[in-house]
Amino acid sequence: MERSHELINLFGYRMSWAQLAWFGHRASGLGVLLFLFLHIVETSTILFGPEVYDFTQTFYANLPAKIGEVLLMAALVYHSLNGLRVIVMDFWPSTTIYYRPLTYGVIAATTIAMVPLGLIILTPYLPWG
Amino acid sequence: MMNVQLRIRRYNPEADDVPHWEEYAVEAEPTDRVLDLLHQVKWYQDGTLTFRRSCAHGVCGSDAMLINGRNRLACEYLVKDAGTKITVEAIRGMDVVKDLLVDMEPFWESFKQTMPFLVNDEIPADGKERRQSPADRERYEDTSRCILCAACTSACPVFWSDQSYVGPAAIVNAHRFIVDSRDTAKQERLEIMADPDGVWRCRTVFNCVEACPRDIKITRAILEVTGEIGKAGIR
Repeated sequence: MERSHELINLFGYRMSWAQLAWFGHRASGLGVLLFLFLHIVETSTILFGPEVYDFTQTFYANLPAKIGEVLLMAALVYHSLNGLRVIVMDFWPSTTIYYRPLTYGVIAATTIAMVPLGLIILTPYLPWG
Repeated sequence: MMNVQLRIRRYNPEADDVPHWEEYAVEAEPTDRVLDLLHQVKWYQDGTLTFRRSCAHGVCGSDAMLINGRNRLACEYLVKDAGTKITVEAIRGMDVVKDLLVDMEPFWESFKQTMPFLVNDEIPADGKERRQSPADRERYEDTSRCILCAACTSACPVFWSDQSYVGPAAIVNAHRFIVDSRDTAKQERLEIMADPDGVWRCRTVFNCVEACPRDIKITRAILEVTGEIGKAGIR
């Protein structure tokens, strides 16, 4: 069976890692944009006084919110690294020959980077933290 | 011999409102091609099955289909690679005329837009032929191998969402002449490619590269064209 380099069948077309990388770039970009809007709303509460602002900050001081923060960090790291991959290919088209290792590299680097970052964010909110 | 379950997405505009799946049991050798299975169905089970094929040897590019979720040429894809459960449907982004047959007219229109012919009205230096160095010839070696099967264009998510995008096949064929040292219409070609529906719409998804039966480095060609547009200062 010829299944290497292929993942799941999404939208009726079997997705390759490169297509997933593109889809992930869109999804992470949209996710970060949505957080930006939330962030603007949340920081704007300072206009209603320090008490209101401090109260909104308590929404972030719990484990589910911190998991969301880890996802946000992963989206930022992935979007940045994958963006660099796209920029490299744009400037040096010959590098597109290596699109598979470059894609795997971005996914691996994001995963590795998220181990310490995730631990730093989550540890204080875990039972043993 | 292997028993293969062949699922084909059928559509008859005279009888069906929407396409539907039909299953056929066929016997095949592992070295048979998916095209052989389609022939078996058409010749011995259901003569109304409609698909396009001509040379049947991966040269003419007429039998690009969505097989097992990916664009391939039916005449090149072997049963031993496809497995015993095979799904076949028409390529995406083009109107289905009947069953696996799609309307290729918009695809040819995009191809024609790229002026797929050498433009040079000057008399050659020796009065006979336009000479080219091996290095200059090499620049379009890859893109000159396109067989216009549309496997790349119909695998592109940008094209799925908007068919006004010229698509990878048209850009590959534009690239073939843009980097040809003998051609004199480079500026005009680049201006066509710099159109909002042209080369800038590529999102480097690489589905085209994965689908190309000739292994053309399509994304590389597309990005080389964008580089040439930049160098020419076209906005």
